[in-house]
Amino acid sequence: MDLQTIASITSNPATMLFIVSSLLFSIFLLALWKKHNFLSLLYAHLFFALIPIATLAIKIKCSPAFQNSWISFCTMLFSKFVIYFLPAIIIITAVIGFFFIPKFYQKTSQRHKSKSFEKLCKKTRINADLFLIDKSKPEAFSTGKNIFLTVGLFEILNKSEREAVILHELSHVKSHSSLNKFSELFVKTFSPIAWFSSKRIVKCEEIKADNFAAEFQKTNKFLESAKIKIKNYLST
Amino acid sequence: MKEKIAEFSTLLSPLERNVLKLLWPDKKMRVKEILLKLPSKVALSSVAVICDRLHEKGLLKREIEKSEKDCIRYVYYPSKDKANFEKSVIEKAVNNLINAFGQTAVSYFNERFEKKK
Repeated sequence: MDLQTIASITSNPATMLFIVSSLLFSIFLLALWKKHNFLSLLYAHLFFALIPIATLAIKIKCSPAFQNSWISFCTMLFSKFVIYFLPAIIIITAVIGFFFIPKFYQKTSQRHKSKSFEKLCKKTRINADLFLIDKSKPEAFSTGKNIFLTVGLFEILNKSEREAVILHELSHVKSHSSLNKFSELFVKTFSPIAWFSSKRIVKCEEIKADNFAAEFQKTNKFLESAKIKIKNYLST
Repeated sequence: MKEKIAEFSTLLSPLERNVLKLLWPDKKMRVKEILLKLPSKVALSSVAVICDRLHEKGLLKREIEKSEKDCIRYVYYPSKDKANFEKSVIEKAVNNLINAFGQTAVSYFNERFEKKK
């Protein structure tokens, strides 16, 4: 392909949008195939949000009177923005989510080696590293393959409650929740429909992780008591 | 003016004062040990919150203690002794009074000292 053919494609909004929507649809199918349900849902939203714009673009193409109007200009700008920036955004998401954020937290925290954590990893067959943050507010979160716990969490919770929290985070590592959350954040800026679904997605992830911990421990007693203790701390 | 007086009276809460009293004889204590020695019954989480607040105020220092049984705890110890702390409180109060009343406060202090003499 020489430059002229590329220019002719990019100057036509209808073809551009066709390419973008098919690209999104293929990502959607790929995500479905990989069983990343939430991710696929988000790409589907993007795909459907593009349909009205695509039809508009095709209509504009049909009537030459609209060719030079501001609507056609906006559509072209939008489609160009999407086709150039969407792959970039996906890459940026992956780099930030899996490289920069873990690095940032790793600098502020120290790696903690514990036998009980390694045992849990072996039993659940999930690879993860445990990091300790010098902070008295009880918090636990995960990015990529790293799990971060604060000293405050160790201080307040007893052994089985701590295990429940670690299992909850291990489930997040297993289902790549951090990637899902990041892509959801970026997709939100493009698809207005994603705004409505995003709350549900975070909730579903949490419920899934809770269920994982409860199934492993065969009771949700410890997880619930841990949640109550953390709530009590935050309310005082 | 009212705000400044309120600032002084709320410098420490009763629980904070109790925690400091326990730690002032230059002791190193974990949160659980403090909880056991406190006169009133309080939840563990609220003692942890109080210790963290005192740490933020600069009255307590802390270290991370790791034991073999995967127990990770903070050990708190006072950064100032009691005399130093009281001195800083008095300094703050006197400064507040002088800032609020200026000349009147200074002349009152003079009168007060002369009476004592």
